[in-house]
Amino acid sequence: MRRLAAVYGGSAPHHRALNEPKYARWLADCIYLPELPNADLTEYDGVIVPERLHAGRLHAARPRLLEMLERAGTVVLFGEQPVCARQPRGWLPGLDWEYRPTNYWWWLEPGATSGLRAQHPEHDLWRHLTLKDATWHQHGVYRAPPGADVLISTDDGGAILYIDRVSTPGTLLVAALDPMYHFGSYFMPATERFLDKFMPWLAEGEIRGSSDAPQETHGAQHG
Amino acid sequence: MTVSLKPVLVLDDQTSAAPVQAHEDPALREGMEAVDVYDLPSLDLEPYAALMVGGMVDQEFLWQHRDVLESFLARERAVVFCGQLLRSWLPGCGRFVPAKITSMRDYAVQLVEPDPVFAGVDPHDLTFRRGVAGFFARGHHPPPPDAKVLAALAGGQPTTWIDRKTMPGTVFVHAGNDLLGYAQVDSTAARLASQLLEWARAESGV
Repeated sequence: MRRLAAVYGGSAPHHRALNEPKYARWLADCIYLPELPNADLTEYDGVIVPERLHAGRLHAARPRLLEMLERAGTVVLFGEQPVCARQPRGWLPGLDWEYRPTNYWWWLEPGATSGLRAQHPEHDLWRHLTLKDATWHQHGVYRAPPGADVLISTDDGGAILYIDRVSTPGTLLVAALDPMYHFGSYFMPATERFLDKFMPWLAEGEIRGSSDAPQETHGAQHG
Repeated sequence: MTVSLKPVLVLDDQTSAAPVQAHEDPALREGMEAVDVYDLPSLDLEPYAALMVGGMVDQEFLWQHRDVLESFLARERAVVFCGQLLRSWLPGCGRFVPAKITSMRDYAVQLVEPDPVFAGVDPHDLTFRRGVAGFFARGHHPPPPDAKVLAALAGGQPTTWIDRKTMPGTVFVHAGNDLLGYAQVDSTAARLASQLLEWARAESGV
């Protein structure tokens, strides 16, 4: 099991999501955002950055996230992320964010679709969750850098979930989804289905994808 | 006679990637200023009638600096909180209790005691936004005795209330999304933002 830390911004929704036992069991620690700039992350394999963290405080912790990526660790970034609104391109390597007004109502329109598409059906993530589990709404999209695996895209080519193992020695998993905020706010049941499946996968699943060099055989390393 | 009212200070949690629409609204901006919540300990709060705090705020930080908020309330000012209380930084307010939701009907909002904040607002427009229920509140905070309950869920949970007894000043609590966020909706609920702001400015005894 990967040793994961999650960033805790001090809000009630994040507190609920990160302390819910079925998710907390996959976390080695929570790190309070104002303490992140001085935190030692070397003991972790990865760090989860939940959506909607204070822009200035998260920006102050950027060097710690870059270090994690440089030493081949994993950074999971959920969006919307206000720091990306301030700096849409390049806040972390390869990041390119485009804010879009949110359609909370698309599913009420006759014949409407979410506009989301699952890509790379062979990826291990899809053994754990379905596109439906990742479907509620987005507050924007990312443009994935060349060479990244886009696992969920929009009809017009935006990336909703991608894994970038080319921009840094590490793994940057970026999702324009806000499951912790909504689960923690007791709103949007799909977000609970997503976290129920995403968290165990993140801790124990295979993050690498088809664009990587040949992999070791699945299974043995998962116990 | 026009009385010059002090402005409201929004303690901005800076957690939204979207433009904060209430801050863009010229009518609302007139009576409102916003500041980074982490600047709270160094601020001179004397010029302000009320503080507004949203649901994504760092409550560990507010708990550390609860003396600032208590002394503000001791000077007969108002604190408005919209969110889920996690730490006891707000005098008189119990911790958030989520509602047990078994059907969409449980989200139905009812107005309880009449108050200028909700004047002219149809509760149906609070229950639904374009046909989706649940935006308004998904739980409540236990109010102190004698609190004035303005709105409740179908099960009677007091989502929104005013406490004028616990402190010399006034605490306004709403167990849901920021009411200023209603500024741009296309229903009677849009009145909430400006009416809450006017209420907060007038409520202060100074």
